[in-house]
Amino acid sequence: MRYIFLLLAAGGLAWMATLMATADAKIRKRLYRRLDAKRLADQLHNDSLQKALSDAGFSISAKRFNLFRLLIILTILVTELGSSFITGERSVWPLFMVFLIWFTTTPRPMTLGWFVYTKLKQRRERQKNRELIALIRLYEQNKRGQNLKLDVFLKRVANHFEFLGKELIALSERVTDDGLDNAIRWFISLYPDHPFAGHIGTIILATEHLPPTEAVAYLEQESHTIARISSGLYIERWNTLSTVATMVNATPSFAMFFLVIALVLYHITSIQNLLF
Amino acid sequence: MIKLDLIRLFIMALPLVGLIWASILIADVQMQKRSVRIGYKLRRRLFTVKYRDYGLIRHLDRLMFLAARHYRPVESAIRFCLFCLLAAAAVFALLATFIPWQRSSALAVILGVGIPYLILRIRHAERGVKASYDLAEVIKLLSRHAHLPVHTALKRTAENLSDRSVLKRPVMVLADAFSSYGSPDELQQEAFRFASTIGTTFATQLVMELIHAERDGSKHLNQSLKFINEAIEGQRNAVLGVKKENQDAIALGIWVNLAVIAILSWSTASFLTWSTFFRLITQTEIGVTLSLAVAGSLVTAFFIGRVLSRPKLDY
Repeated sequence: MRYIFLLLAAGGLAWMATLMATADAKIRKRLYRRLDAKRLADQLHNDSLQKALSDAGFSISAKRFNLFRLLIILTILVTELGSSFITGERSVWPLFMVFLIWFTTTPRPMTLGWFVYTKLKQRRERQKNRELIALIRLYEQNKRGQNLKLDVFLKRVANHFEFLGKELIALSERVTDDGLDNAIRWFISLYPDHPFAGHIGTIILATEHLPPTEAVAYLEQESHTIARISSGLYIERWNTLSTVATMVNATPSFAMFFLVIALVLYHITSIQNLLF
Repeated sequence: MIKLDLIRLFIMALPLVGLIWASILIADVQMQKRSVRIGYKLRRRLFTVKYRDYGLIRHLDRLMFLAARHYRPVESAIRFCLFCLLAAAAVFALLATFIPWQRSSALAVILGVGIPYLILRIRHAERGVKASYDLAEVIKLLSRHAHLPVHTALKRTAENLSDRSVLKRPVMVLADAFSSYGSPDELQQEAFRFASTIGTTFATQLVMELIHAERDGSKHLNQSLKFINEAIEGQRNAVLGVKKENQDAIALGIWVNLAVIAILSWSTASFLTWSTFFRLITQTEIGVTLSLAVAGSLVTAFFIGRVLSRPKLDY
């Protein structure tokens, strides 16, 4: 009860202080402008977080995500610190939990959050790669069948694609507006350091004006090449993983060695203490 | 006298029991009437909710599509949610009555929600790996029926698949989607669902080819199926090579660690006797922490070994 009165008194004093400080109309106006909810919410926006979130495939805005994070942290702090203030116990738990939340959700490098975001980004890139491979196959089907022009074909198939759909529609618009070469250049520039996106661009450039029968033969060959590139990437990825996995999987044996040595030493020292 | 007393007691008790029985009957009838009405209202309200609008239900439904034994479109996801809620409540009640601890609610949530979800995830991952191999069989069978309309071909394929195949039901569902879609968007959604449950390049390719064939005729479907089949077989070789490369890690994770631990503890125990060994492990601080570390890393190594021994058939 005493604490509640103390809190009430402190709150009342703070309220009175603000009232007195903002007696001047100019200052009050400035304060209210500062405290505008929209302005405050805009300050929560963070470009790097927004980029990390959208790369990882979340459709949530950075502002909302930050607000959510902040709310959780504030509730933890208020409940835990309030209860520890009332009961008089001190613990580092709430601060540790706040640190943990920050550590798992921030896009800053060398944190757990960064690791999660990069993993999700890689996963999304792999899903996009799948659709790129499927695109070249569909293009070949088109050459076999109706032989539509590239922009018409792209518009027709764009909504078959879950991740590439918007980019394909943009590409089709660019093909009609800027011409084939510029559009393909734009499309390739979307994927810097990609193993085969540039390859796909050149394939489309090369085959667009060929007669269908030649184009089909060429495309078949190139699809095999892309399959081989992807297979090579797979092997490379797993080979780098296998060394790490062997190391991780050897840890229990090493830990057991260490345990046995430590126990024997402990035993010997305790016997020594008994003897001397 | 005792006998007479018993009879009198019996005669007195009989109307009482009858009264209680009658009142229970009446109450039961009333309850049933009301419960029917309540059930009707509840059901009407529950059925009007569009469950697919919720991300959680969609996510669970996607997992259940492969993992559930008797899958029903949205129902199994809702059932899983209810089960988790009840399990968390039950664990919380048990903890609250037997172990009065401050953080029992957190433990209840971890036990009641975390463990079922983890089991679901593991089942889904295992069946997903199996599905990526079964896809090869699907494609081979499908190329036999490629001259037919897409939905008929899919239906025939599903009928011809062996019962052990994980993809039997998903292919059947896909066939239904192809035979009775109302709009292209609907078809696409179902097809994406099929592709994302398997989650490999080949599944995406297959689905795209099927949609394309549905729109522009299945004249060239056979050829592209042949191509996908070739790609799958090529990739299977690559996967086998990778598995050979990972043999060390797999063996370590699955049995070498266990053997090393057994031999080491046996030899140490023969040197110190078993009772001192156990006392050293359980009663000293260093023994407890290190043995916990050994157990934890052993479990992780086992899971890593298992994952490595069955890689997905994908790029």
